[in-house]
Amino acid sequence: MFRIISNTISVGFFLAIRQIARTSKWTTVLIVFIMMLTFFNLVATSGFLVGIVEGASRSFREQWTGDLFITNRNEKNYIERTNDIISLLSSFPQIQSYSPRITAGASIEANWWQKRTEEDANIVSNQIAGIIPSVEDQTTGLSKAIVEGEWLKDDDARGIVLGSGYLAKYSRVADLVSLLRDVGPGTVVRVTVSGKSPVVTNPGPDAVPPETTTNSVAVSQDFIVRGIIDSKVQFVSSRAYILDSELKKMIGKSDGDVSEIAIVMKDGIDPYVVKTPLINNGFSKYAQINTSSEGSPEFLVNIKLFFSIIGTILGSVSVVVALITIFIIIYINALTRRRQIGIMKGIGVTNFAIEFSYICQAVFYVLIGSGIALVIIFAGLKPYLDANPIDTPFATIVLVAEPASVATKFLLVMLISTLAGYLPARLIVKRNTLNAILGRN
Amino acid sequence: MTSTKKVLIEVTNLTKSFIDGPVATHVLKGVDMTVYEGEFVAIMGRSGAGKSTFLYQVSLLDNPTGGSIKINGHNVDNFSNEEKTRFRLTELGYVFQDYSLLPELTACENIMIPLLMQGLSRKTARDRAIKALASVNLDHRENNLPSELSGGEQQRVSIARAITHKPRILFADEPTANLDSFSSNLVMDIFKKLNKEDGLTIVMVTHEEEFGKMADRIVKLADGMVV
Repeated sequence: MFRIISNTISVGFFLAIRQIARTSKWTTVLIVFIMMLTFFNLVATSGFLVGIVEGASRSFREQWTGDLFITNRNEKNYIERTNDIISLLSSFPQIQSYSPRITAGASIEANWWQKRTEEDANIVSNQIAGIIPSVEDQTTGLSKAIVEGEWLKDDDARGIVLGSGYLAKYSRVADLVSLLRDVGPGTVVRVTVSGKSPVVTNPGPDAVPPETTTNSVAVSQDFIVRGIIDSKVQFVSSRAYILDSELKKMIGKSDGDVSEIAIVMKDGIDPYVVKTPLINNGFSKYAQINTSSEGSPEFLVNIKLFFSIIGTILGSVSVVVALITIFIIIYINALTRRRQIGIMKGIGVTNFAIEFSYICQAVFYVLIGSGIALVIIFAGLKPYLDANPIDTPFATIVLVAEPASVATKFLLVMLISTLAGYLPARLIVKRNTLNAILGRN
Repeated sequence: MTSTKKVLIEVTNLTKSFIDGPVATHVLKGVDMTVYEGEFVAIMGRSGAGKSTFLYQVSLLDNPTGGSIKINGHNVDNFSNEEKTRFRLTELGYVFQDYSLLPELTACENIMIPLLMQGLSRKTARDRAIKALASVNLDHRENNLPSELSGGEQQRVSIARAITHKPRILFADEPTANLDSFSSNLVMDIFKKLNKEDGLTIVMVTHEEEFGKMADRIVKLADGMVV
């Protein structure tokens, strides 16, 4: 039995090699080219779709959350016991850098001295973040996103960097929303936040000591615009940045608590190395501790899911197209050799030896076509797009082609090619031997 | 031919009909024939007499409508397609009118195919194929594709392929029909030699009297019956 199978495979392989070698070179080139495009389509289409989301996720991680993102709990305004958390973070050598930020709602007004009526107001309300500029830049590299002017310096108490989302000239919907006009580096803007003033209540003679509460008051301070920051990450572009010490003074906050901490791990380090100890130390009671992917905004998660579904659908279509393409190629190939198939059967070549020769041919075409596609993807397109991502308003798009995923697709295509090589050959081979030899239908 | 020789082919009441819708064409109408071991039989008859159809049934290339065929004691009527293929590989050899070589294989490789199928190594198969080519005086053409050979050369390669695996019976369907007289004589000389020197049983269909007479016996078919 083993000998028969061995002979069958040996003859099938012998026939396949010679048929491939002695068929028209242009036919071979064309078939390989089609297979290359088919495999390329299979990998690249879904790769680009995932790449759109991956590009957005990457920007989100690099410019906003870092690898690990600690934020205040929903019911609180700040991360409680921030100092303890930062103290623990300092003990991790796996952390490359981290940037604490304190945030507050703010209105920013320009040209207020020229305002005659409320309609003249050049004012916008959004969020302001207090940061340590050098630490923030080390963590998120925001200075690279400056499109006008320069990034803040650590001792620049009067400086402010505005996100492009504050400015009319960077907005496509400037006519619909109120945004700052005629503002750029060097412009003086007035920042107003909700501060606190101490109020002594119950000042009666029996109150020892008297009870002290705080009242919200509007606190304004003038800053000079040092730079404009523009990012694909909307959160980054929708903020203004000043020194954390200045913001704390304005909002009257004297403790060390902050609103968020972005943490960047050293290369290849899993953020769970830090997340797990933080949780084990009970800090999840005081803050939300998420990895970048966990902390992604819902729309990004939804888009990721949507593109993943689209990618799966397109991938499935590509697989079916590949199956049909190979099937047709092999079917036509076998059909044009119908008479030879009849002759082979006539002289004693078994059906499976003939079918195996077509399986070998299908596998050969797919192997070479896919191999060329892999070279183009991994030696050309991917390195190029990694270095030069496609710039879109939404994200910088890269080609995502994970070796494990590509290997799976490759194996899938090989399996399909085996099936698509076998089925048409089977259809032709099982026909009457004499009819095949005589070319009768 | 004496009846003491071993019966190699025994055909009894063989029929073959082709049905095309309501029309049935009866090509073979109950043929009986016996071929003995080592015999050279020529099947002759006019065009449409059923010669080739008869050969295809006896050589297991087609399935008869009725009747019985025994080859070397085997009742082949109940063979599956796979069994027929294996039987053809080991027991039978074929020479077709149009040579029927595989165009993508060289002369040598065409001959190697049945040998490889029988399990011989490539080297052994190649050596045997070259010897077979030498036996038909074509050893210098081993690496030529069929398209590079003349009709007579192709037919000699076809003969070499048919005999290299040492079959018990050689079937030939109009082997000289497409050849000039020189090549035809060459082919017939080979057949005679194979029959006389190697004892190979040959069943040949031909419409050429001259070559038919070279056989030990002529079986004439007319209108689907032996006459």
